[in-house]
Amino acid sequence: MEFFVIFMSALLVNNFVLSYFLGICPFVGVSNRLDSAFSMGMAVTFVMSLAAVVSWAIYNLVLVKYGLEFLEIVSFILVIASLVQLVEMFIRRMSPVLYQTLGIYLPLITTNCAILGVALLAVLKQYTFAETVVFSVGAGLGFTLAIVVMAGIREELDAADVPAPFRGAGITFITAGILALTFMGFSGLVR
Amino acid sequence: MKGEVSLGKEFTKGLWRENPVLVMLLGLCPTLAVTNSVKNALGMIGAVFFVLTCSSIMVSLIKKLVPLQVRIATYIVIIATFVTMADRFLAAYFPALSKALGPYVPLIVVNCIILGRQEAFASRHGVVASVADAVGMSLGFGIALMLLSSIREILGNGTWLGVPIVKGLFTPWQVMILPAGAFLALGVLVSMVRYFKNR
Amino acid sequence: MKESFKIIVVLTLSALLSGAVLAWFNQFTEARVIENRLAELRKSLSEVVPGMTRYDDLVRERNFALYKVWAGDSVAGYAVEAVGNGYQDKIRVLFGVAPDFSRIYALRVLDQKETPGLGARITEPWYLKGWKNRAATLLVLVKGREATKSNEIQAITGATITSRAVVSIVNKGLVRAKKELSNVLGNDSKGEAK
Repeated sequence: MEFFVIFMSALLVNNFVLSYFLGICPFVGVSNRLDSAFSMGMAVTFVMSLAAVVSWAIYNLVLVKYGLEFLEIVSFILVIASLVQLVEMFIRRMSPVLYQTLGIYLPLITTNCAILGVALLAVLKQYTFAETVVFSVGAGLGFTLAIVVMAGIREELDAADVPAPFRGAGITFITAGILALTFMGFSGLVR
Repeated sequence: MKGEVSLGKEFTKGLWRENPVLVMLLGLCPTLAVTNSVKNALGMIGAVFFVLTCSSIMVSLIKKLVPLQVRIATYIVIIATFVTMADRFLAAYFPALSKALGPYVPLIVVNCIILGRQEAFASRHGVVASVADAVGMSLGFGIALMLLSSIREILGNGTWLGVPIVKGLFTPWQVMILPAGAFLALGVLVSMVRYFKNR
Repeated sequence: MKESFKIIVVLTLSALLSGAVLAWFNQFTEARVIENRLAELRKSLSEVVPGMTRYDDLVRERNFALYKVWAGDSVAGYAVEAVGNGYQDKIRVLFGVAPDFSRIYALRVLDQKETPGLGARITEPWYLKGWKNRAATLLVLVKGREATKSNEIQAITGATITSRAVVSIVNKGLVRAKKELSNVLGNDSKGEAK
């Protein structure tokens, strides 16, 4: 039951993009087309889950054990950077097709606040290993949901007559704001 | 070639023309998250100022020693070190602020502004110029955050830095303190900046 | 070969330097961080159990804690820290109970992320006053009218879910606390050395 709460919370109620403001850069930049948005979302979900789990292990099995909690930030970011490198090399070797669709997003993902954010939040909330997995998958899917909806709306906006100063970033943020408002309707979903 | 770098120019570009938040649209995660009150924004501005300036100095000093392939990794380690220092400092001496800012102080390490300035400037210029660049960018960041947080706090709470200033004039728009309000305010602000820039 | 060597040296050196600098810096901050945490706990405990001089940790878990609070040489009461789901996210409360678990002294909200102006009002003094001197039996939420019985808590208008959550958290916390205490008392019946 608690897993359900954690998952739904990360996915909808406290959506990673629309509530925690994590992953804004790709959210604004990449979400122009539906299919690339979905691919990006899937790539992020995968890396997020992996990064969160590995970071959890590093924190709880190494840092805490030796009283080195202050190395959290440095170790997490190094883990994430290395992980992304490894994943990119792995995908390039294993499936060139997959690399074509997903691979280009991977370097962007290293500085994605969402990845580090998941790791930090999982530690902050003192989640267990299983809870971290559920949390990171939910967060990744929540990110994917937000980015896909945003892409759909932006495809429509491209055809609309947006006043000059608002074009691009301005109207994107205002749309995101309205989207965030609608997601507020999910509050109280899990209690 | 480096040539003569005008210190004044390096300093002022971050304030308006190349404002990291409002023009270059970098570092948006903390911008949206901590601008729900002016106090939180000030805390974040201080932390970013510290991290950006110290990192730029450090990167500028060691730029000749770092091989090209690992420069990003090295910069990240440097930035992460200063971020940890800022985070621990706040947790020790400003616990309430640290709790309010939460994970967003550690997230400064992936703030595109900081890494961006190291890659684009500090790694190619001397220490003094890098400091000018860092301070200018920090101030530009500060201006953007102060604008956004003032709008959000006044409209959403009727206060500024906790001091009530619109008592009775109108009922605060709660939404401005919430995430939705952050996006809306930023959208309007960015559009206004673009309008004035292109006039 | 020389390039790779240089790369490894630079990376290792920066990692080691970073670790060393942070370890050194941490010395100064760590003590204060722990001190802050303890001071905050002390403050909350003294607010929910009047007359507190010192306390013992009986149970310390992620989502539940039980403290035995002393006033001088006698037991002033117990403090229960409980966590539950609110409207938006988790709500963490601390409340003090009399030694015989007959009444609740007071309640404080330690952490919440409810809607500002509505659910977040559970941190305001006028709401917390409604928790003073309640009966430590099953607490009941009342809407639209003032609390008349000593086990009633008035809901915040427009924040029913949050109000209901707080009552539920306290009720569950009471049940757990009673269970833990009967365990503790059962375990060291030879007289506590605490």
